[in-house]
Amino acid sequence: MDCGHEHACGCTLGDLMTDYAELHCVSNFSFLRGASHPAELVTRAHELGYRALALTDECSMAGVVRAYEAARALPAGSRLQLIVGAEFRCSDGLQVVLLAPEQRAYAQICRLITRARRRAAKGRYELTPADLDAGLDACLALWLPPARAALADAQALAQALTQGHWLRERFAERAWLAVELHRGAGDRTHLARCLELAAQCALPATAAGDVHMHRRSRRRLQDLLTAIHHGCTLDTAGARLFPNGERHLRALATLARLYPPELLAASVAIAERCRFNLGQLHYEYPAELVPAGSSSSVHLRALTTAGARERWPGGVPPAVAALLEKELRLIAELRYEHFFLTVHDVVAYARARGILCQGRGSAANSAVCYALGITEVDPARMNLLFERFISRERREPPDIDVDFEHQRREEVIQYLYTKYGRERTALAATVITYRSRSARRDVERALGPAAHAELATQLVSELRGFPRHLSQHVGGFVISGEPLHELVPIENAAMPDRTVIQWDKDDLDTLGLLKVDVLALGMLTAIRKALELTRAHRGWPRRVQDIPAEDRATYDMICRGETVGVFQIESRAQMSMLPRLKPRCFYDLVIEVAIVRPGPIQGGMVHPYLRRREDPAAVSYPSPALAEVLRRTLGVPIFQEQVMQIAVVAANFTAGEADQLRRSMAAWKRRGGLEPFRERLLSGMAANGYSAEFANGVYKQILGFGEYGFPESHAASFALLTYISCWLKCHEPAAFIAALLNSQPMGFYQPAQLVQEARRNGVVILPPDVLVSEWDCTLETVAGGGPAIRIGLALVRSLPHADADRLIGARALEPFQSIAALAQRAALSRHCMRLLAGAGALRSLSEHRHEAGWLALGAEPPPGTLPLETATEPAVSLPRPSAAGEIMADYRALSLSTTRHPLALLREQLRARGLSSNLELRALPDGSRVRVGGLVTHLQQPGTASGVVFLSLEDETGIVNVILWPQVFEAQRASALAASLLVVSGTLQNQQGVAHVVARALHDRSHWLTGMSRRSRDFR
Amino acid sequence: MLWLCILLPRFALEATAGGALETLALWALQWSSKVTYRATSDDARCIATAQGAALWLEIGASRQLFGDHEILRARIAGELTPLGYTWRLGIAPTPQGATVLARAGLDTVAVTHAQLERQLEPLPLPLLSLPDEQLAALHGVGLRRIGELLALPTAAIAQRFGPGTSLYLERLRGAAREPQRCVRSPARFASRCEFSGAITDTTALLFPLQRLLAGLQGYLRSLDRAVQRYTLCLEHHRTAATRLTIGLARPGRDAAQLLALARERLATTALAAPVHGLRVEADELLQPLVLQGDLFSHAAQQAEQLQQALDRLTARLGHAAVQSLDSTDDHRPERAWRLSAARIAARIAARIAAPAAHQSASPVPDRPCWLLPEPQFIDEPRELLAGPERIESGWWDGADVARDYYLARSERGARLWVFHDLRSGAWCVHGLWA
Repeated sequence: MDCGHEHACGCTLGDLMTDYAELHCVSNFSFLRGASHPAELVTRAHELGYRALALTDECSMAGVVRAYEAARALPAGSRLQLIVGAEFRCSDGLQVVLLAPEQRAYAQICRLITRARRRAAKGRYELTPADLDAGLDACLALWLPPARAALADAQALAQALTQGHWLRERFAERAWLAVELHRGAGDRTHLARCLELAAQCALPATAAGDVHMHRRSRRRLQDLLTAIHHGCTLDTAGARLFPNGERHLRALATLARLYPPELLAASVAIAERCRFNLGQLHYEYPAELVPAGSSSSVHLRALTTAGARERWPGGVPPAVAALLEKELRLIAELRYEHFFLTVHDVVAYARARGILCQGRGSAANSAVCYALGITEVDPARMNLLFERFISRERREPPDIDVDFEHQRREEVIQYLYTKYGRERTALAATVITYRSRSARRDVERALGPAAHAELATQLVSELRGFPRHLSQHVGGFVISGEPLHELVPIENAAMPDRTVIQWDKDDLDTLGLLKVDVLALGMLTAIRKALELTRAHRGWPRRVQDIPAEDRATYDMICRGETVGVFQIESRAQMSMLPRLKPRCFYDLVIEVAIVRPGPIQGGMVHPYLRRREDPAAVSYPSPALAEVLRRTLGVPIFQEQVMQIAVVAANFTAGEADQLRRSMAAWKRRGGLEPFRERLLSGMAANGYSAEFANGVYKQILGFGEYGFPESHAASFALLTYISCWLKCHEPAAFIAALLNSQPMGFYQPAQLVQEARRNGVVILPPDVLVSEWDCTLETVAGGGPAIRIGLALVRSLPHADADRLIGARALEPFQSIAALAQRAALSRHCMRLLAGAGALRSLSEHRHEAGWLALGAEPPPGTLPLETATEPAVSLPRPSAAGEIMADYRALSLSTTRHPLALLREQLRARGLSSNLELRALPDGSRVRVGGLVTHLQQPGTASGVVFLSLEDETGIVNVILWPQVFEAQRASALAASLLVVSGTLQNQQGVAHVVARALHDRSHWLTGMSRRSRDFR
Repeated sequence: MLWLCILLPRFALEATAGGALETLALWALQWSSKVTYRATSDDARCIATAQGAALWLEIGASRQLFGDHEILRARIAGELTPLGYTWRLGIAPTPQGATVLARAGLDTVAVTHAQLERQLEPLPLPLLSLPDEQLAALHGVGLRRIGELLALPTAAIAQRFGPGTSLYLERLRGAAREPQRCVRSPARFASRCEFSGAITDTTALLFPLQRLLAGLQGYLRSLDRAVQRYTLCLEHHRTAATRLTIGLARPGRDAAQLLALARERLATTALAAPVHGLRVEADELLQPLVLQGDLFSHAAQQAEQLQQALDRLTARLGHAAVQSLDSTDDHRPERAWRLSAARIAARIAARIAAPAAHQSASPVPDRPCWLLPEPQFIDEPRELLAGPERIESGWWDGADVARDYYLARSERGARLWVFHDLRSGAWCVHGLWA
């Protein structure tokens, strides 16, 4: 007797005589139902010798591109045909599978899915039989009759008959009844009843499998998903679980024993009618960007020429002109004009609205993009080294991400929606998958409290990587010439008025669809605001282009590691590396942006590079051929582009293969699939005489790149922002820091640290003042001509913007003479007045903060009190706040100090206890035992640095970085996590101008701060 | 007037809900005819009770009776301590002033208003009975001490914090009188306390009882009366209270004596149920406590009766002997039903109360009515009439099965429910058809 378990070889004699097409199969993109990835299903169906596999996820096309990719990757000669379809459950219980025999049917299904999903909340759909009434004339329909038990019931049977007739009327020759047998108790009876029902409805019958997994071994996972889906434990899931694991792709011989041959033959006949595959989808670019009478090619050339003339008013250098010509020809050849035109249009819109933006990505750093204003990375000035512009071998769209100011990106998004219409514009999806933590949580919930730990761990690892739901991509817009829902279903995102397509960016890549990444970047906001301030205050620089290149003072500042607040190289790791790396030119910054990242660190590339940087004699190349590739990074591969080039030069990859490698690098965590490349890489490099160590290093780096790697093309664009922000910080610190304060929340540092940094750069900080402060921070000139930042009202905690606007408006009419007048004329509530008083913003209208607070309290009498004539109120005498009290009040109301650093007040006390200031540390010899103290500004545990925890302590002289080895951290976890003022004793590491303290012991001294201004509430 | 404040900082946590403040007030009547307390915060000013509880005694008039206030203070302290309260005392010419001094924990006494103002002056503001947000506002304008606040003009304070606050400050220093609702001696004594947890050991009742009896003693003293018997009620959760009448050979009011009698009686009393509350009544005319009336619907009453019947059955036959047969939702036949002892009554009651809600949503598959306790190994059956029905389930609880079930006919013609184990290949009979 056949036990139904597959045989190892997959095929048996019986298989050879049977032919079958699985027409009803859900993958794990039917979230919490299917227990196999689309690719697993495709591969398994091929192994079993199926004629066809229909991927019919529930009201979804989210998995089809992955299935299509897997089907394309099947060995040549595979006869497996992939059919695209979807399963639907109507509100009245009707269940059908719709299949797409041709592209028109596919578009109809997409439209149906879109309709059903757009009317429901995110992640759900609603469908009534009426939706099936029309508009599906090209689709094939499989009717899934009611469950076997229901067919035994006369009433249900009658209802089923009605359904069958109804479908027959609508789909005529294109409808079948699907008989699905899973070795239940009454399989034989069920089969007979189904055939009877089919005959009565005049529908032909076909075999189908209701497949939920590619192998029986996924049964556990399928049960688990069911329990998670129903929010119950496995113990209580009961009949909601399938009784057995038969809903997998079964061997042909097994099917032959279960189904009559004519039903199996019917499945194949249906499959033969299906001729659609996703490769036939062609995508129409939006046509409106090309003026009537012109062609896209001519138009792009015209825009490029005009742009180049503006960039090089004195004439385009011949080398650049040649490059432009070469690029334009390649763009024309690959027919990418529309892509460049679309990006240009978005960027032109932003520019016209004064929204700062910058493109990045391989194509962005082309001469064409520079001419079009998409990027500022000047190919002539910067010795363009980018090999990967667009390659002929790849038929995929070029890669351009455009970053916009984070506070104004929404305007750009709305522009896209308005220009192309919601029908033709949607965000790409991001598939949210199970991570270890979420998988563990759901597994433990489903297994219940008594779960076996080992079992749970196994299931967690099986569940990890399963898609969980669709979310919206951060900014990848798909824009189409035709309504998008003919191409791919659209569903609602969590955000109101946002829609996403059911494909993610890899799916779009696979199908070659255009995507424009509209991303948000806080630093762009800050740079724009800084330039506005410099323009208004001093008249220069007005634009990004005004900022001089390769400024020596800027690099000097960077080499000193004074980069608080700048773009990308502001983190502790970056800052501590700067004095060793000593960037002296733009390209050094490009490397710097890319190098201190987990990818290069995991690949062991950072320290070799640093060593070579410090000692040019250490530079060597594995071979003369690779010297060409690696010279600019001193022989150490740092960029994604270099890894690809190594594969070509050293391991004989073709350009196309190298590009596949690049794509696999990005996706291996999700899909795996790097192993074959590893073989090829190692053997290819060995054959060319490279050491195994070098080859392994390259491979390890590829793994690192998967998550965090940086392409040189992106690094270059980012480095430009780094340079601009550094230049601003170096030459216009007041404008720069004010702009950062006005762009919060963003970046690595809090306002308190930014203000502190400004002070260190000689900028005077002026407190908020209702007589002068605007909403944002502004620039003033103090006596003696030094720059000063006037703190804006935006920094007053909890102060509503509208109230501040009223205040500023009333002030413009006539200056305020008193606090009472301010409250009355700006119609400010007592609450607002107290916020202003607490922030010290009433200082010009009162003796001191306490008196201001007292007057603010009287601004609006509490209910039940008659308003007193303020003029008649006797003056009261309140104690003047102490210096410490002022600082604490500032921190409470503004989260920063407008006077001194709190630690400055404690300095004598600290000195008495033997603590060094952070400034003094620099003068102490390496290896000294030291005690330091400061406010804890950052606590960070980088994933890759073997459990080491970094902590920053700020005092009035600067920031010192503290290194906590894991055992020290664990032993003093509470202090490290809870303290706001921490004293650390440890050993000083003072090398090349970088001072770290390796901590031995931590002491939480937060009470010294509170002690500065004690509130005794604990008397009671 | 001179007020003594008894401040019980942790009192709220201990027992206010159980009504022990009332008990203490009755106890305090022995010292003063004017006793007042605030247990609920219907008065906006009495923040005191939120932090703890306070009781005020006017002791100016009692001075002739008990001597100097220092002596009185010592006596009160001496009686409070054995009762196990955490307390602080303050004496001042105003109740609010006494409260602040009690909070401050100073060992001084303010007899005159001037003395009070002098003592209040250096004390920190948070000792005042003011809402937190007002204290924060006062702190925000640099005020730290009570004296600084009292120095400000009353109108300016009212303007900022409302008339309630300025009135409070006036009462604090005696510039305005505070109306007092004094505790009156009731005609009968009844006092109770409630426990946060259940008490199962009678000796654990003695300490709370001591407090109640101290209250009774104070009450009797204030009236100059005695009792010959009192009732001790042990309150249970659902069942009626256990009432114990404690009789004295002759009238008396000594708390220690009353307690000693109760101790003996409790030692011989077996608790019928855990005790959640304790009540002392000195009243010979008390009615027996009426049981709960028929507030429930008929079904609930039926369920209640059933519950009681089951309780009795269980009590007699033991817990394991009373079980119900129940179907459970599981694909494995041996798990599709079960005997369950735990809380059957609750389930039955639920079914009586809502019969429709309990119907199983899934249809029951074809199953034999007799299932063997354990599957029995057999040889491969000769004749299989129907099947297979494949069941693969239960991997998560250690009883994983993977079987194909068949209807088979035995050699003697019996209809058997057999299965073929897909892992071991063994055949077993699992049930019999009628």
